[in-house]
Parts: sequence; C-alpha cells; structure tokens
Amino acid sequence: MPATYEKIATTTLGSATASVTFSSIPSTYTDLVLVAYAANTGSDAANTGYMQYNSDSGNNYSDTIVYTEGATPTSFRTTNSNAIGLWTIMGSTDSNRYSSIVVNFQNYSNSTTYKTTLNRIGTATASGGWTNMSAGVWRNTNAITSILVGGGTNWRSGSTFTLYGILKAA
Amino acid sequence: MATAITLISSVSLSSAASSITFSSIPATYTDLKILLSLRASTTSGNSNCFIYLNGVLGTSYAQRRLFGDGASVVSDSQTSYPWVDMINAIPNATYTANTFANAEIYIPNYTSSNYKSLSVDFVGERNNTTAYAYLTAGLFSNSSAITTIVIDGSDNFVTNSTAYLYGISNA
Repeated sequence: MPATYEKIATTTLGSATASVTFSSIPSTYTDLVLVAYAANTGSDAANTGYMQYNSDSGNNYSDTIVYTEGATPTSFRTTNSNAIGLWTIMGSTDSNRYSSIVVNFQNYSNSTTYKTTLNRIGTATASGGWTNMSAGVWRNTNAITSILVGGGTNWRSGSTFTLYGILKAA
Repeated sequence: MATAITLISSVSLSSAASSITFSSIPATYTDLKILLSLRASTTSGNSNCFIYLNGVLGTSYAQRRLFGDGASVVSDSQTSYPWVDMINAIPNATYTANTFANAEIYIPNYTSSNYKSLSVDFVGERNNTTAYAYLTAGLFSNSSAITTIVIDGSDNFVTNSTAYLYGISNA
C-alpha cells in the first residue's frame, strides 16, 4: 500500500545559496507540504523569501497576508506579482535562529483550477519576532511540477528544505 | 516507499490530569508535529495552556503571538519567558459542554544544535461570545536536542483530552 505521507526530496544547504528548486514533482499525490527550517543573509526587518512554480516568473501570482511584528497586527495583499512572498523570515542577526516555514499545496496536480497555498511562517527572536499566515494563488491551471524557493538574499548555510507528498486514502 | 510520518506516542486521558508529557523522544526524525484536543476542568475564569521543552522552565523562551477573540485582533510578544504560550482560554466547565480546543504544533529540526523554532496554531472555539484563535511563533534558545515535551495548563485537562506526537522524517 502506498504511504500516505512521503518525502519527495530534501536539501540541506552547505553554503549560502540564492534558491532551492524542487523539480520533476510527480503528480501521483493529492497534496504537497513544503517544510523549511530556514533563514537568509538579509537584515531582519521585513525580510522575505518567495516561491515560483514551473519556472514562471511572470506577474501571475498574488497573496494576502496577516502578520505581526509589533503591537499592531497588519494585513495586506499583493496582486499581479512575479512570486508568492514568504513573509517574514529570519535574517542574519543570529546564527542560531531559523524560521519555521510550512506551506500546504492542496490539489496541486489538477489541470482545471488555479493553485492555492496556505503559508505559515514563525520567527521568534530575542526581541519579539514575527508570525505570519498568508494565502497565495498562482493563476495557472497546470499541475505544479517544480517549486523554486528563493531566499530574497541568499539562504543561509544550514537551512533545510523538504517537500512531502500526501496521498489520499484509496 | 516508506511513510515519512510516524506516530511516536499518543495520550488519551482517562482521568483529569494537570499536564501531558512526551518523554524519551527519539532523535531519529527530522521534525516533530503535535496534535492536541484539550478541555479544562475549572469552573471559573479562563484556562491557559502552554508548552515547555526538556524540562526547562526559566528564561529560555521567546514568542510572538497573533490572536483574535471574535471582535478584535491583537499582537504581543514576550522574551526571556518561562515557556511558549499556546492559548489563554481553552474551553472549560464554564462553557458549552463537550467543546474542546484544537491545536497543531510544528517543531522543525528538533535535534539541531541550533535554537529551536516552534509554530503553534491554536483555536479555542467554545460557543460563547468570546473565543480565541492564536498563531504563535515560539523560540527555545537551547542547542540541545528536544527529548521531552510537556503540555501544561493552569487547570487540569479533562477526560478524553488527547495529544498525539508524530515524527516526520526526510531521510
């Protein structure tokens, strides 16, 4: 019997790297989960990564974010963007700290609907940090076969990225 | 292909308990995931729920919380904190019977020698005017592998409260 929750691919960076790409993603699962324990080399404030699918760098993405880095929560959205943002990730101020990133891709391989993700990123720091949840959409009906996870600046060495496939019960 | 997710341990309370502990967590996985269904037994006030790791209570934790109560949304943070808060108001005996809070906690890279990040989603709908949904980023400033997790509360958890600890492997 096929496993319900399988690793598709994983990468742990041995040096600073601009992006990580999961390619040749099989269409045999129902959903995908991207898990990262990651930080980048940028400054901490308003520090973002991003995702693009199937090598599409056109303005075909949008997202809506609710997040906080202070006393007042904020929500905003982007439209006609060239990527889905990963808001807000750990920067370079502390080599021991990495963000927790979990992205859910439901029904990623169908060929009739645009693709939506639920993105959750947590980054607590000695001075507070950020917590964020967002929804992203890619206006394309193709099955997702590759995912590029960009660091904005470089991802730091030691960052880990894993893509899992979830298979519905037969 | 082997499954990437494995149930390490589960608890279903057969009597009220003040806390739930997962101990001797093996270092053989990459990440940990905890699913909770909790209700408190107290008959007054709000019941808090929090998590601490490896028996460490002190100043090793920090958190950033984003939460709503049905009327407004609030953000706050704590540093040099004794634990990571999960929710300040899980359903208890004051509120509608049989309502339980739900939570998911994700701890990536829990055996790393770096500090540990926690993502906590916690909802405490209790069929009352005020209920809460929390999204929390937690930090445990400790480089040791996580071997023990304690889910604690200000009041006892009731019978039928459950906790499941899963290991997720990218090997």
